Amino acid sequence: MDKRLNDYLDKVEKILKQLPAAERVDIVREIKSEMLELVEHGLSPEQVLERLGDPRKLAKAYLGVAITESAQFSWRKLGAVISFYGYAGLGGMILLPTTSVIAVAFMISGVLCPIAGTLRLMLFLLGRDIPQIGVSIGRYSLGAVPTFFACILVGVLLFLAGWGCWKLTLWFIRSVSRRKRGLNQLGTA
Amino acid sequence: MNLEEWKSQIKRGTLEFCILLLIQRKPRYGYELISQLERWPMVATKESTIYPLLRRLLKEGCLDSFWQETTQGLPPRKYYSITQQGMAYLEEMSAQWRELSQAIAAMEQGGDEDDGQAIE
Repeated sequence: MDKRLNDYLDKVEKILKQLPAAERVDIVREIKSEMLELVEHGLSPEQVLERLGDPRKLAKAYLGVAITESAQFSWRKLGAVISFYGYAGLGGMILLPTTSVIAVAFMISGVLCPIAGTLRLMLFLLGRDIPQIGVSIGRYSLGAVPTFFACILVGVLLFLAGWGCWKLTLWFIRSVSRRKRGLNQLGTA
Repeated sequence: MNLEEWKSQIKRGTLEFCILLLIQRKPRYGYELISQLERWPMVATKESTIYPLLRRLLKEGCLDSFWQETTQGLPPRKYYSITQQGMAYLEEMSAQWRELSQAIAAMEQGGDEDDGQAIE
């Protein structure tokens, strides 16, 4: 048999050294059988080698390191894993709790604020003013009617801010799962 | 969105099924399986995928293997045959596959919950 083909088989066998001898011999024998079959079909040793591809890849596929493409260690893969867990970890610890708490708090405040403004306005119309509910800037306090409009405005703004935070939370969760999918594909493809 | 990625996922998911279907008819050897699969580009597969997969199916008890001498002066070949367990697995897969193709056929014809009877 051609020396290059023998070298190929040697390489495969070397990588498979962690397997039991009987299994290793069987694997190499099977690849050799196909090599000879291909040669018999008129393929040159170069064509046979080209067809079988990288011996390391073939051998490692047996070891189950990676079933298909990139069996070798790659910095790109390591980088992707680190960046994913960095992203998800940091996000999970800081971003997610913050945005979700803010979202809920802002939306509740956004609802409560106009209610308070309305309450003061109604009591004011009934003849009782409660300055405990009100808007004050420095020493200057707004009356019942301007307070009502200010409350509506602030309520809407708070609610929108809360809503935005909620959207941000959802967006982050989605982006984490998207990245995870990307990572999985990198691992198996 | 990425057609090649989609195709390779389908290939990955159906390869076991294809191999068992081929071996079920008669015992076959690795290169024969590869040449058979090469007839259809959609399932054409390389050595580095087929051989490890065959080994896994052996270990899982779906396949048996035996070495056989050839007559025309070729080296001995390693043949794979299907076991009872492999047959049971294959039947299960076939049933699932039929279900999937029926579902897809129905959706292609625009069948949905409104005209569900048409599928029956």
